[in-house]
Amino acid sequence: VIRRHALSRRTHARFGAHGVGPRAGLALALSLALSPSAQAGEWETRWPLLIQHQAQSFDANAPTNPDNRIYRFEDDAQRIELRPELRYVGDAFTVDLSPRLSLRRASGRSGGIGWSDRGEDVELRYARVQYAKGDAYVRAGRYVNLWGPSLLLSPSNPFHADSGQTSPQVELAARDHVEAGYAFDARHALGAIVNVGRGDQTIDDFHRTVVLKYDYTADTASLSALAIRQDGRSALGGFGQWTPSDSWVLYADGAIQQGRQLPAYPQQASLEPDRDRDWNGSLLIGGAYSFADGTTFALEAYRNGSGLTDSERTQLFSLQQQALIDLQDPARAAQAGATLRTIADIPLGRMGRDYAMARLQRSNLWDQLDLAAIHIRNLDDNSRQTTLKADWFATDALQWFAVWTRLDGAARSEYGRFIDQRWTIGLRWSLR
Amino acid sequence: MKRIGIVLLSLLLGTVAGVAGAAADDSDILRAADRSRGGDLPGIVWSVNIAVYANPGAAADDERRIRLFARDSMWSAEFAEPKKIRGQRLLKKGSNMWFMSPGLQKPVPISQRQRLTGGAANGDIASTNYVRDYNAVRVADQVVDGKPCYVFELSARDKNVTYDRVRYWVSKDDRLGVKAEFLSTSGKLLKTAWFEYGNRIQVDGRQIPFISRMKIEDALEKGKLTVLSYSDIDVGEVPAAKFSL
Repeated sequence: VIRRHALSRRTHARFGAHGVGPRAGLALALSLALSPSAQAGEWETRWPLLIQHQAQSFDANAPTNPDNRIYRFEDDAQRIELRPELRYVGDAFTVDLSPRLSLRRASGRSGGIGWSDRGEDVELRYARVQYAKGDAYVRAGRYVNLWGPSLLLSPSNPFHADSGQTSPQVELAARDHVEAGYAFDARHALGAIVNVGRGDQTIDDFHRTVVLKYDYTADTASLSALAIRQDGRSALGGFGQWTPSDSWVLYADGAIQQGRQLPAYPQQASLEPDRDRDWNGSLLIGGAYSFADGTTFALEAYRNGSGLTDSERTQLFSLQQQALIDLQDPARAAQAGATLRTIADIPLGRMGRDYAMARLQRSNLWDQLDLAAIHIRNLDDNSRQTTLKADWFATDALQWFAVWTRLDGAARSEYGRFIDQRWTIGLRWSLR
Repeated sequence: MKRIGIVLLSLLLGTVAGVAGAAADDSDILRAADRSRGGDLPGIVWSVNIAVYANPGAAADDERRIRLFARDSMWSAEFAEPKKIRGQRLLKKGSNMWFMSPGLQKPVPISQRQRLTGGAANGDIASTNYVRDYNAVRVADQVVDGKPCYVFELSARDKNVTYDRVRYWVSKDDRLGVKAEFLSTSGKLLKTAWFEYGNRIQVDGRQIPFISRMKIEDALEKGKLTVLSYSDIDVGEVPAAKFSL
């Protein structure tokens, strides 16, 4: 079995499982924030309960996953999860805690044999402490650090390039960060961010990263410049947006870096990360137009400098095919398994070099309904992902949601290689 | 001839001085009115309750509560009620706007066309700074609700404000805005607003009246009424971290 949930972004690591440092740091910060010497503050709490059912279909005869024996994808899964959001707001300290209590059941068929799986989990998913004094702040903890103007991804973000918005009920894996910032005035701000642990992430992809971030805001535009140092390599990034009128937002997000960010495949040296220090770039450009009724249409084009060329993609799928054969050989099985796992872990939207994205969104329809359609196309192999989402706010406390995702493409393409379709329906109920 | 020239020059200088004096006076009037609506202050924090009524006299169809932090041309609105939007945040810096929600965890740039709710535009919940944002022309005085008022025709200095044109009535006695008509560029009436000043704040060591209620009638949807109630007001510097993404 290589991986049961190939497209999910996280599994169930508990807080602090990857090192004492972040846990001790957070405990210290929490005790400082909540100590009697800290000025009195208030707790704000939300208690959403998530209940969802997910089903998916895939090609049982796919060459990369014959009879679902390799990846053991589930046919359906149910989840009940309490997602409390606890916030302490003091004069200077703000503390955010978000534990998870979940029950999960999944079932599927592999090699013609049905199976089911149950699990429960209690963990602290997000935790952040912020101390702000005047125009300066320091924050630390385990959280998701997103930026950039695109709803879907940010090429300049070395921590969380993918915003996870194509599967909104799946939470992104949080990482451990420490950051500090200072706003010189209303227009200029400077910040520094360092990741101190891989956080709630099972994929062993931790890269020590230090980012210096400068933000400039003008009347109709904003611009952020980034200097990044990751694993001894340098990168420069930036993102910005321009609001030329009350209906248009135009934006760009990009980075140039030394070498390419490719995973290391245990069985194939030629697809490993570049050892040279050649600079290559990634750039996303986009624009969003809002109609008078609030409907927003956005188009984006993305050039991924770390994406695979056509020959490299062919090589990758040959490597996968070879690993499937090697899996039968006990002497090579471990390495082959690691290779297959690495290939499965390539995030969607990161394998190719050129992408186009379109998004149509209508929020607050009749004050009750949010609708969205998202289409992403890999222009190199012509595979694509289409997602339709609906959120119905039935009452103040009850939200129903439905998400349908279809992935199309050849068996040896980015979006066509694993799943055909996925449906998710569920509800989010605010208990308090 | 020389005497005529001196007389003409004196008349010209007198006229210019008079206009300049009137302009300064107009600015002072508007600045005082702005101050009682949150403008021209080092920073302000307040809570706004927005109630939307489709039918006058009936219960509110929609109600929202927002905590607003404002400084210079920046404001951050944090949604407290109802539950379905609690934790959402709108940030505005100049004409740049971002939307953040607890689930999204990412600031998403949005256009100014995105409206908060009902008849309230983004600009209605924020502090008012007409002196900074509009060119003002004073027209003939009028009486509103028995109060003698200065009347100003305001036109936006740029496209970054919520309304292109505003007709604004400011009470002569206490220099408080009592009524405003919000108009499109072509002069079409969009909304009419009335203001009440039941709050008080401390500015430069003295107490001044401060806005407590703004009632907005929608001219395009007859009968639709939006009432904004302001409370929990704190005047003072707001940390820049409140406006960070």
